Amino acid sequence: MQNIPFVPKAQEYIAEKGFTLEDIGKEYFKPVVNRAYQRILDAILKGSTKSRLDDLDVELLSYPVSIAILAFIKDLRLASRFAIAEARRIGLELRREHENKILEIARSISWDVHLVNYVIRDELYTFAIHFKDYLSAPPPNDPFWKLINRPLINGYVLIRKQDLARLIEEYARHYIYNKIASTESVRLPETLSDIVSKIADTWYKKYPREREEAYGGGVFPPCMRKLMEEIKRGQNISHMARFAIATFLLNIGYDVEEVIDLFRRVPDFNERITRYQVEHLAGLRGSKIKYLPPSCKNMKTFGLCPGEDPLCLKVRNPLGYYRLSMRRRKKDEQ
Amino acid sequence: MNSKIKQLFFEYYRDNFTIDETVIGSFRQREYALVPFDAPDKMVRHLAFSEFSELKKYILRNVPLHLYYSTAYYNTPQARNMDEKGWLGADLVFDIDVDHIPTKCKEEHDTWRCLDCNAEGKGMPPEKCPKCGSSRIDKEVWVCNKCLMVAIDETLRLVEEFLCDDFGINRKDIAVYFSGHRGFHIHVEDKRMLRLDQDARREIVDYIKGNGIKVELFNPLPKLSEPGWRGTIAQGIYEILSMINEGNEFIEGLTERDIKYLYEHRESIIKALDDNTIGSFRMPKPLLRRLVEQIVNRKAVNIDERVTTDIKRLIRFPESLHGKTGLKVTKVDLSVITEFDPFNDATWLQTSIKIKVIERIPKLELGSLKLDLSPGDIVILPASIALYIALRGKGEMVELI
Repeated sequence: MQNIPFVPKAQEYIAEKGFTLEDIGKEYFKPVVNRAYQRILDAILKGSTKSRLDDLDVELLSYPVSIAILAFIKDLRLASRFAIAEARRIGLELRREHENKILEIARSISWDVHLVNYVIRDELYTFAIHFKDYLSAPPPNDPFWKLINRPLINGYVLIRKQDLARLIEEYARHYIYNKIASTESVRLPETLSDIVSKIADTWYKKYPREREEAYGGGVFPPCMRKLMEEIKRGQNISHMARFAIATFLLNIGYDVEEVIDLFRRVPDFNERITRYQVEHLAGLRGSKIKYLPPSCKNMKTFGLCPGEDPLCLKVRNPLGYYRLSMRRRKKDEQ
Repeated sequence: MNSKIKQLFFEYYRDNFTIDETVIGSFRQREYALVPFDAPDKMVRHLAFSEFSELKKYILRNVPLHLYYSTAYYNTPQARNMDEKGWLGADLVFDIDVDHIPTKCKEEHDTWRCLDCNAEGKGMPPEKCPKCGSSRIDKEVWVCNKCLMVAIDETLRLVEEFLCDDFGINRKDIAVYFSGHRGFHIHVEDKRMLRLDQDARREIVDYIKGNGIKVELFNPLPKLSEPGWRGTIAQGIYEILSMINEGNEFIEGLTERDIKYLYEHRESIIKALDDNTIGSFRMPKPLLRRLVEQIVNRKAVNIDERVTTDIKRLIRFPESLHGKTGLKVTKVDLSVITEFDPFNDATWLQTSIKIKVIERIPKLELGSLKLDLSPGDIVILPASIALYIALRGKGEMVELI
């Protein structure tokens, strides 16, 4: 039995157990809840989890319990962290499996995959996967994974064993993340409140909610401060506004993940689209040009300028404001 | 004058407009759209019909200058809002349009003019005016035999080398249509492709256009029979070596030193490319980069990426008329595509039309006809060509003959 949540066998097994959210609160469920707690904690602190197969029941049941807890907390950054950690575990375990086993798992998610034996330049390709499935979950922005850099014959991409494991890993990441993000209004039993607050504490200690000091402390220009606040309130801001805030943050040193995380709060958030766009703006895709935020003039044209403060009058671009205010702050500190 | 053209369009749609029911799969799940003859600046969208005869009834009452359908399938195609439509999937489509491909003959028949500073020039229109930087550029482009040959060549390579060989798409699932203007639309109706998202489609586009190829992966050199781009690059290097061997001293994109190097190492390179030997060869990286770039330029197909990556695209309806040319969006059999002559094969008009030329027309080769017309000329032309000139506003139809 695989410790892989989307494999039909595992799903059937869990379904057969037929437990409810109420059961989770019961004493006899304690080992499962503790294991779920440990899994989440490992994800937060180590960025990876490990299977514990001494009690398979506990191990398999602790997965849906973890999902319930995370769906209750609904911090999508944490969801993403957990999904990555679990996916990584699955990827590692798969790499150690026999080819036939990996093939079975890939087929269980309806992928069109075949065992082949193809040697190109001393490299052994053991699988051929249809390009539609290959393209359904490619690991992001690595030229090695671009279709153009892959042997493609008659609709099938030739891949190695570890590549198929990696593709399934990526599938797992999306699957687990979407499970948490799409599970609505979870009501956990009272007995779990202790665990939930411990998880939240650990998480926010390791990853403070925001870089509050940066944008609250007056180093952000008024326009960007306003946009940050709107996003945090979960408002649906315009395309141009998204472009402006994303390019601004990327240019002052936020990384792609941080910007994507910020956008998780907008109502129509779609990770793949956002990722694509943010990576594009960061110059990781397409034209390889890192975009600058719109000039103050253009910000005004698009109705994104909430009115100027004295420092605004010295600059022509929101970035200029940030650089100037950072310089002033440094001076003050000295 | 305009009413004469409208009458022609109306008669076409009334008497000649038919399609095989299977041409557009899932007819009910598509969105239809048209630009009315009487309001050429307007696009009427979000139309839905349960079958072709219903659509036909509608367009006989509202004669279209252009007629479109969605490559996408929707739950509720008539919904006005994209979110409410309920996207179910989309055909994979490709657009090959000479507008996006530089051809030599454009210097002879295409012109552009900047709407802001009136600068003008010949050939492919620039994206921005070289004089004032404005992007408001008016262009005048014409169909010509040579341009069309380029589009035909690209279409054949797209279908045969990429879609069939590399992507394994069945020929019977591929339909090629003349776009009605300067190119071809290639429709792939394969259930497996329906749910591909934008990112996946972009990967397919990048593959076909040769974007993002990683040069380092071609060192040591690949063998001729390797699949995908690896084999293509090997074949390209082989072809360049043959050119050098035949005494070519100039090869686009390569320096004199490159050519000398290739010539001196030709034997070991050929051995490395050959499938039957174990030879291996590492090329100096800058030279390899220039070689790969050159080969990609030659072997990639210049498709319009916006059409393929847009999963909610409207595309011309088969057998409809293109309002700028009067030519029919015509299904073309690949086995005879090289013989394709739009003014003969993409028209329903068999007659001639007497036309008075009112504005300058560049010298053009259209089908078997060489045109050299000046304002004031009154000539009798094949009806398809006369209609084309009239729709371009360069002539007035005098009478049907």
